[in-house]
Amino acid sequence: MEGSAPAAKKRGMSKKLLAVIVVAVLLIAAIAAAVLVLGNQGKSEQADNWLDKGFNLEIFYNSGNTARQTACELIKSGLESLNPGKIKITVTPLEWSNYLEYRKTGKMAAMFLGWAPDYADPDDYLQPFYLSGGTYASMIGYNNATLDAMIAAAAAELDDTQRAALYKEISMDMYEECIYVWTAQANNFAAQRNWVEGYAYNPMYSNLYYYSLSKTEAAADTTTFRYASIDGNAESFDPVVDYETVGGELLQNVYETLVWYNGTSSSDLIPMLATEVPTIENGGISADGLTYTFNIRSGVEFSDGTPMTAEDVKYSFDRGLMYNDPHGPFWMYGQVLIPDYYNYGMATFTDAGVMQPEITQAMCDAAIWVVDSDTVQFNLTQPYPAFLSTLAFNAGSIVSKSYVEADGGLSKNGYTFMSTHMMGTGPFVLGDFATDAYYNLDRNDNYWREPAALAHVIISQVPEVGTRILQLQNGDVDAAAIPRDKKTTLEAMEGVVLRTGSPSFNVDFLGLNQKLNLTGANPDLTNVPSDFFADKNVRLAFAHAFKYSTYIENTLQGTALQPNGAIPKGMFGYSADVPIYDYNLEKAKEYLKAAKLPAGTSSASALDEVVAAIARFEL
Amino acid sequence: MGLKRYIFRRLLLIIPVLIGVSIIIFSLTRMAGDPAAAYINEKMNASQIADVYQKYHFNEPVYVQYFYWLNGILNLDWGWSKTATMPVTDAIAYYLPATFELALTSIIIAIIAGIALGTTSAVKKNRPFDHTTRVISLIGVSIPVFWLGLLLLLVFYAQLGLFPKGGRYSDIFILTGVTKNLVTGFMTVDSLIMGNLNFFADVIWHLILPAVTLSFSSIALILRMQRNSMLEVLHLDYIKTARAKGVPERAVIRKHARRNALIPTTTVVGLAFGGLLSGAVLTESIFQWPGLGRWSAKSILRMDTASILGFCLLIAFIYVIANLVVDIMYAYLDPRVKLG
Repeated sequence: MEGSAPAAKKRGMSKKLLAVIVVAVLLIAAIAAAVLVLGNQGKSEQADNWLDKGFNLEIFYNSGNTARQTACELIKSGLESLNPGKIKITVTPLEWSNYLEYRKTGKMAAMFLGWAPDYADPDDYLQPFYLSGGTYASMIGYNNATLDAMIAAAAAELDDTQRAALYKEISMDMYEECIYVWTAQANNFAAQRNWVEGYAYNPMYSNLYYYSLSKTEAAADTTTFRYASIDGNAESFDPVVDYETVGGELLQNVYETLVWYNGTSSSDLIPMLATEVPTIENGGISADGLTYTFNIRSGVEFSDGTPMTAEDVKYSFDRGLMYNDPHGPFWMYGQVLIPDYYNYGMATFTDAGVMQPEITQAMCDAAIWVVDSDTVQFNLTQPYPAFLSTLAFNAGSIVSKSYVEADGGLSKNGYTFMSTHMMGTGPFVLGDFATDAYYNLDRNDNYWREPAALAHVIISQVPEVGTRILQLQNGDVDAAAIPRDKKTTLEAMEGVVLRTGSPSFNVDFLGLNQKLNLTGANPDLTNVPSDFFADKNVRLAFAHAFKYSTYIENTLQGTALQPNGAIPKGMFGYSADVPIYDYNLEKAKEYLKAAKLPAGTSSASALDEVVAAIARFEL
Repeated sequence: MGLKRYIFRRLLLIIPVLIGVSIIIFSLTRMAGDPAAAYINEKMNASQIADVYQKYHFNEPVYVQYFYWLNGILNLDWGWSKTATMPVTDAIAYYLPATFELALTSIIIAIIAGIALGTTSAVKKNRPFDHTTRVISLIGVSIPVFWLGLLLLLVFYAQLGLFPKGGRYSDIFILTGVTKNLVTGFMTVDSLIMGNLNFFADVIWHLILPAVTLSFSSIALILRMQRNSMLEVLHLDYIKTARAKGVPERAVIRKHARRNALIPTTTVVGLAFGGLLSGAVLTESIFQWPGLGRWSAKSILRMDTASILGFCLLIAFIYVIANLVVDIMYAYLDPRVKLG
């Protein structure tokens, strides 16, 4: 019996061993089956495109701009619904100072922005958006040599019909390429008392052109026009320095340019201080498109009574070109009047205040010269039909030479003096002004046309929109700057009319960075490769994932339209034949599905799949 | 003699305070974002942007930038305020009178109302008057100033037409050229210098609504402070003595109790005034007041570092002075306090 005990034990052990082996085999088989099944599943689902793989992306807007914030939210909801849980969009507001830093370093994958033109010409859109090195083109890392040549050719084309055709061709190509998502072209939106007459909206005006305005007898005071504006000071009263709309409004009412916009049209120019708009047909423009001759209107006097001559015209442009303020607007003349303009910097001043310009008087003399007291000629470095439009901009204002010369002329003191003084030929003269408070314009009774109907204009800065609404409601101001989201309030207000419906030249868009700088990027926010947007399919998916109608009808209260490209409606070169993208999530899905992952980095490897499968098991 | 030396010593102390403040603010402005932002616009190209960095030394180490800035400060070149479109020193000279005039009016309203109500509440402790002022002061500290300002404007300007739409004076003085002859920037003073009483009345008329709006929270503070300190004083022995001597109750309250109760209130008034002087963004915005608050707020939003630094130095200076004045007031109110 002694020997049987271990034997029985042995038998018992082998039984146990067998059971363990069986269980182990079963387990292994089960795991293998599971891995196989899950692995196969993974394989059948293996993402080779951005729709299935999903991505994280951060979209930026400038903080405080609630409309653009909503735009971000709209594209976020559109994109995230394409593959819920896998596509994650983060909306981030940026302060101006940080925005600049991000822009410089190329760290924004996508950003909502807006553009307003300097002069009414399509070239002022195509240059920043598409020309290599342009403001936005460089921001999104886009360059295209073929397109550059097309833009240059269109800008230099002298025949209007052919020029328009070239712009249409570019617009069509760019529609196909879908470099930007064009979200809105705002309409004008002006709130006025119903006694205001003569309002005509021109998209190139800086706010109001008071010459055409008048007030009916219904107003308590028919001679003074009061405008409640937003908070903000004019940068300068000097047309060669100022480059924003607060100062622009003063400039356009006090100074005049050689040519000016015709009523509500910005492309059909009318002569102002010139006697006619030069064309090739009337001999004002040479056949090669390089020489522009202006006959200066005689009998026009500055508001101090000194006559305006060709000398004043030349002097006005010379002092801007020589000063060459990099923050200012004079690049638009320099780029076509001075050879290799961008090699020259701003003028410096000696301690005694004597100007030492980089662009010399001799260089100006080669570009602009006085033929006789009534005639002045401009010599361009290249044909540039948009030149006439640039002359209508505030920077082309004609200042009084004798006035400037009496107070420092082309010296440090002279430029400082002109930043707070104005002497033009326009319908108004500058009256009193106070920083952060108001600007007052008085009628120029010495005006060469019929004097203005309004004797005085007071543009007061009212920072709080609630106060502006109260003032307009009470009739203490004739017009006020009121944001679009107050549309219904204004519509219900008795005695107040909303002037809206004409398109402005401001376009809002979503920029898609094709050369994203991923240094320091947080993968939870952005985990796409730097050339994510270089894939046209991705861009097209974004274009179809934005709910244009909701944005325009709800957010912008119907006071905008959907642009079909960079060139806005109403601008020369705009073509209604260029299609727009529709909000269509199915198309967006298709395009994102067609957007293949880059080889190598594609989806997770087979090993990752197994690890993931086991991880899921453990959970 | 002792007082003069004391004031001199305290004034000397301003220097290290200002240096400390400037170092902190300077470092903060250089950390918070790109200081070049204020000088750059959307339309500038890369080389123009590079010029900005060069010109303002933004590409040099922060401490080097600090010394450039300090050198400017000492030479009275405080930089260019992009926000005000004038030199920072000119901007301060322009905004300070507007803010000072408003703050002074508002603190006068607050002192009169606060001390009168506070004293009476203490005397009538736990009676209906006291309960009413308690509610008023609670509302005073908790009401949002922009709401109060808009409400006052809605009622007293839009509905009743009793007060003007905002600003420092009426349009008529702009159109008749009166405002071209301003000297000091203090409209009340300038109008008197010109001998134009219509203008003076108009200026006061424009001051009332914003000053009342601004004074509301100070009234509440002063009221509560004065009430509590009165209650404490009223229990002291010398008050009992005064009453025992048969001094009339009015004289007890006014001469004996109130003056002594004013000492802690003075501190609150001093600090409140310092706060009012540093500007009131919301009140200034609602009433179109061209003051320090709006200037500083706008400067911060656009990273106008020259303005931010100038403003901070000014405010540090104002607070030091306000504290000094409070200390001197102590000595005046309480002979036991020795300065020096």
